[in-house]
Amino acid sequence: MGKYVIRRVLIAIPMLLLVTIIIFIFANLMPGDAAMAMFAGGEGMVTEEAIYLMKESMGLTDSIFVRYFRWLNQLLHGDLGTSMVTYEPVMKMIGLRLGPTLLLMGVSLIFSIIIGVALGILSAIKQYSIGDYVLTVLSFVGRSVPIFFVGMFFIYVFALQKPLFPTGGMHRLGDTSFTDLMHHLFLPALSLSVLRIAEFLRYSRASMLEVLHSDFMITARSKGIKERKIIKDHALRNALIPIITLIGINIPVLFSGAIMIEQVFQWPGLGTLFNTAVSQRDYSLLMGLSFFSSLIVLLSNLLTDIAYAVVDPRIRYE
Amino acid sequence: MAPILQVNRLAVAFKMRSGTTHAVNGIDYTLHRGETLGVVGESGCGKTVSTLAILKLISMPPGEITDGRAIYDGKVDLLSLPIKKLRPYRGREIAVIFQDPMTAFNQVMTIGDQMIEGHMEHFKSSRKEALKEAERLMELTGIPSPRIRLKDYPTQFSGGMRQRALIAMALMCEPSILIADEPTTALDVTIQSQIIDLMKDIKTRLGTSIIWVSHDLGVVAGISDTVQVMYAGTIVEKARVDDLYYKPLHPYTHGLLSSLPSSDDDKTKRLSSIGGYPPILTQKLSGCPFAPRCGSASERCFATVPPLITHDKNHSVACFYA
Amino acid sequence: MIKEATSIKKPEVFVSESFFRKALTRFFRHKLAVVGLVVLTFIALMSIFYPMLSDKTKAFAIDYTVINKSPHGNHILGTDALGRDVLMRLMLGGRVSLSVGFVAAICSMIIGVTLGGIAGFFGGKIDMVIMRLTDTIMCFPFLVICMVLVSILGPGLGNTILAIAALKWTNAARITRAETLRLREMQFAEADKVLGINKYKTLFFHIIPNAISPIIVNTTFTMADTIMTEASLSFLGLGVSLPTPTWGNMLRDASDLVILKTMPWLWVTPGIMIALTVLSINFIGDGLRDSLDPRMNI
Repeated sequence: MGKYVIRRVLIAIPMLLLVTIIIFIFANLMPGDAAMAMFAGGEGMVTEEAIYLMKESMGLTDSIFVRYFRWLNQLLHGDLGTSMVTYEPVMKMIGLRLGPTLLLMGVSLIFSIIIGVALGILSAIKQYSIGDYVLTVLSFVGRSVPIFFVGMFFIYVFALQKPLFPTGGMHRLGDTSFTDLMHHLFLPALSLSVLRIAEFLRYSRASMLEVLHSDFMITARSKGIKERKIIKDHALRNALIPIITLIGINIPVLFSGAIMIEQVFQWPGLGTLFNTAVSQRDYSLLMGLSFFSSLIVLLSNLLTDIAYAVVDPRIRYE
Repeated sequence: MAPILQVNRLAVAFKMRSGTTHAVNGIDYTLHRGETLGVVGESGCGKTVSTLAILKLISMPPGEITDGRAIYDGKVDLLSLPIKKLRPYRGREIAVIFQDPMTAFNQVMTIGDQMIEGHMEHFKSSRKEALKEAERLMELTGIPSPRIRLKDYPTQFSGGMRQRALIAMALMCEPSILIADEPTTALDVTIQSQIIDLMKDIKTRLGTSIIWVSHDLGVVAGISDTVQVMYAGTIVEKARVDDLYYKPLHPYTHGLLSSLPSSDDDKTKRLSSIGGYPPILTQKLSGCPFAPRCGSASERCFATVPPLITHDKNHSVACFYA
Repeated sequence: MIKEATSIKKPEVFVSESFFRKALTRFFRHKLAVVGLVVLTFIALMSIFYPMLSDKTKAFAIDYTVINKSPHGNHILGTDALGRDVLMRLMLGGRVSLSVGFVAAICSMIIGVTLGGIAGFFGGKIDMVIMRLTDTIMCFPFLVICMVLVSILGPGLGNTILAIAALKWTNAARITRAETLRLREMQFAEADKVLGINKYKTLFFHIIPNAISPIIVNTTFTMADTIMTEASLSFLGLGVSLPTPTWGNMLRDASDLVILKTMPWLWVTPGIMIALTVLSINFIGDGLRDSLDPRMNI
């Protein structure tokens, strides 16, 4: 097992390197740079010479390779750059906002898995029943509704029409209690989950159906074991294994969804930070955030691979 | 003494969107205690369905047992029982050895866990007791270091070992009848003969009655006492093994036997085969199913289904001209 | 003596119907897929023809006499804060969303199929380079890298299509590569080689047509994705810029809490349009996937 993990980690490292290259290329394609940003607003009053000197002092006149390695070196030291707008270190800005986003994504993910998988498996066991059809159609609908619309809808119904929940934000001013946090978390997490529940439902249903028609199910039945026990010991174990990959795939998708939901609910997380960076053309912040998000993706891929190996003996012994 | 299994008028159909397939068309067969009954026929002739249907192990829907009785030990008609009442018989009185040990086993459960399930269910035994029995049977079926192997997963076994484990698993609850559904088809030839020897050994030692389903005439000849030949969901001939192989009566059986390559064949001639294709079973039989391919078919053969008539020495054949 | 069995009839030669014709019949058996097709066609036709038949300027003209009016006579779906007709804006938005979705999906398919086919067919270093590129792009959450690219390229219809297409091809590439690898090993590629047929001809006339079924399905689902992406980008203020209405930016304009509460016609309508369109495409995609499955021989 250890060898498997090490192999996976070793594959991830060159990927990360390639990611940095792409980000760097993007960064250099952006109109304007840090030196220009320093003079923003005073273009008419600054000479070309002054700009050039500033660039030189910031190291922006060196060749692209030198600049890349310098940046890579920075990254390795945990320095993701400095915001062009607020001059704060990007790492610090991310740190402040990471918690709320992780909370939102985490709660949403757990919620989606529990509900989606449970419904999907039930749907498969009772195939062709009315409940199965209803759930299948609902999962289609769930996948087709834009996530920000879901958020707006929930605000309308649960916060505006009937003030059951707050309309946005993470805390009521001055209130740091857990209940208040949960109160604010509920609608955004629910909105973020809707699509994911539909997805988990669909996949676990398909997986379970495939398992239910497998040969080993017939073998188990030929031994005279009770059907419930067969489903618990044989079917579930096999059906749930592919779901693990699904979790891994969903983490980046959840992040994209969080960008939308945080905007709708004004949730102070990485999503709103990202939106601000884009609208303000804060390129260094954008680069730092992009790198961070790709880190999350690679990490979740790695964890999925490892989890898969733990659960599926076929991988371990190949 | 009553035969251990008596099947009458068994008929099984599969109703699908494209039509209904009559996989088994009203067959009768008997299995006596200690007997090994070979069931031969080509793919799609209904041989597997006709045996698995007894334990209602076919997919229902789309399958349906439209007629028949399966009397076990002269006492119970298994087909009249709902599945809940049939379960005590599954694995305990009648066990199945499936064709492909790779897919028949659950690949994410250890061999040991899978072997003890049935035992713990039927005998209410403890895990320890059941594992001990599993170990004993694995040794009986020739698997080395059984205690360690119990903790392994099916992927860690070789093909032959897996089949032995499958056989051991079938024997766990001391069944009176073993249904072996093409147990050697997925194996290569050297392993095949090992498994056949193992089964012969089990037959002599434990006295289990066996139904051996196969398309391989050679294998069936080696192990059966009685053989029945199936075609298009019906039994066309049934006899003691020697009688069938040396004195076949049905044209289909002739065709099968003469298509077997042998080492003293004239190597310059083509292998003989039976021309044509087996019928698609979407309509009930209106005549002899083999008539379209039979060299001696007459009008009568196309018009009426020939009944299975017993000639001397328990040799039955369904042909007007046998 | 053993009687020999001889055959009476020769086996029939079956003339098989074209694969696609069979697939089409199977498709129309799918109730949901047909419904999806009907709805999508309706939306497309409405978006194209309604603005031609009615007064397009309703969507842009600022008319203070009818601001914030709920649905009534002249304005079937109401008006917004500037007195612009919601229905017309919806239809024009439909034009944008559908065209972006369609063009971006097709472009990304072309890119993906080409790259995937080349990678699978030629293998070796070319394959490695293309696959590394694909994997690297897939290392980013799609929306994230799309937003970055859009902010580099700037707003506008063309740039939005470009940004989406430049990043969405990865799935199509993977599928095409897998199919190419599979088909390359099969007999007819070998036969071609023996007959001395040009490598490129093999790729074009044999391999790609066979791989086309999963690609068609994938492109359909991609279109659902691209429409959703365009809507998301517009909602965030990127992508297509004002005053051109798109369903996404209509939702953005309506995301103010007051509007949400008091003027539901301003945000429910574009939301439902997006949902209906994407849902229809998903149904169609599902129907296509089932009907194009080569393993089903009914």
